Amino acid sequence: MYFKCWIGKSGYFVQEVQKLIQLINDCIIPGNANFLLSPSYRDDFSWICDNKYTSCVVESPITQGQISLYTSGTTGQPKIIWKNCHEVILNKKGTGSQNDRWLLTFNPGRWAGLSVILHTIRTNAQLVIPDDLTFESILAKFSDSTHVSLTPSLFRKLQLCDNGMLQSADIQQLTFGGEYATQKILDDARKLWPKARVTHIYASTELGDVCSVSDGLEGYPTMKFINWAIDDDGELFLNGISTGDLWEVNFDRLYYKGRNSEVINVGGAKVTPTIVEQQVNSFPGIHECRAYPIDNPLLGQVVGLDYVGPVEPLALRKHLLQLLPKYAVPAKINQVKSVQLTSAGKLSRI
Amino acid sequence: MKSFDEIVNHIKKNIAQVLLESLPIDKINNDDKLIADLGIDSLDYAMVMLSGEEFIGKKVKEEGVIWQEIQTVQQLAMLLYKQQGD
Repeated sequence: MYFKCWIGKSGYFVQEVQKLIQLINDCIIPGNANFLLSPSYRDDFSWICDNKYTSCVVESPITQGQISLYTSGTTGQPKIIWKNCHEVILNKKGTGSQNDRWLLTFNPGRWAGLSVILHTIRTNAQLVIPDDLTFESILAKFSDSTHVSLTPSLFRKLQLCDNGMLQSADIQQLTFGGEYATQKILDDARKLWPKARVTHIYASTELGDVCSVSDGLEGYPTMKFINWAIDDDGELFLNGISTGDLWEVNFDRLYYKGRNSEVINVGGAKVTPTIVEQQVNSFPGIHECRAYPIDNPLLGQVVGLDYVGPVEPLALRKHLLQLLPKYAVPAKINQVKSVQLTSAGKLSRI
Repeated sequence: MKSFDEIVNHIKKNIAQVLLESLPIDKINNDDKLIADLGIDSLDYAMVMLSGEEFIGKKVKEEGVIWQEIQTVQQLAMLLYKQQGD
């Protein structure tokens, strides 16, 4: 897998993830250099000529051993976040052994991918690296792996594949991240790999790993969050920092409701795509779906929906009209062969 | 380009779907007002519009459109028909 990063002021182009691991061990952890990770893993060096990125490295914190990452997410301009590599590794929770074989399904230039890499460094585990981040390449490496970290969207795509091949994989740990894992996702994962420990993580590039849960239930116990608050709009704040995520408290558990920036404004009524997708995914026969905004001259925006599964659009619409307020029911429903994901493996909101 | 009659038929088919087939297509007249007579709401109207845009292969340009004058099946069909040529 091609990969690139820029070290110090001179620049250094890394082409293999194994080389990146060597660099992390030899240069970054000991504090001999900083480096800037690119979110692009293809062989495209045009970004390096942009002075904005170069000056960002030059102006990096005085202490070495820093990694800068681009935030991922589905909307908005990416931001650059600095992380102390040594501290990240020290703060990483979870155990492991050298027999663990972690499959890399995330871009190593983003927090999710780097997190897996740093975990394998910390626990001396092995990293299974696909040829690239296409679905086919990732699928080809499943039988080599025992531990997998992936998005729920990628998992739904896997469910459409030959289940015999997946079931025979010796998966001992399945970690969901990057997107919210619904109860259905967690239940389906346990059905596919009954022996696996299923975990879901709430994390972001800015905050790192916030918390993880392995109790088989969606949402997170409130006790897992430190210094948290939810404002009147439902946005979660951690240590006073806005997460941009909308959450709801039910008894002693927090449930994710969507991203603030993803809200679709239907004639003044706000719709979070996640809520629509959760209801759609609950319909028998639906494998995966994606809700997104469509510009409309009458209402500003309406909800669009792409879905995969042998279900008639009219039947789905009738189902949704019973579960959602009418403004949240998609005005355009398309049956598709696959839904669009971003390079980070998340549902595209565009 | 779609003919005017094709667009009218497409709109009627969509209205029937929006109403979950509670109203047969042959009961929908060209001069029926979508909201006042057929009982669809603004959300349904937007859905019919969206489907119409897809049918003609163009998004409706709002400039010059007086929405208060787009009340009936025929008026909506004429809007979409004319927008094809723009």
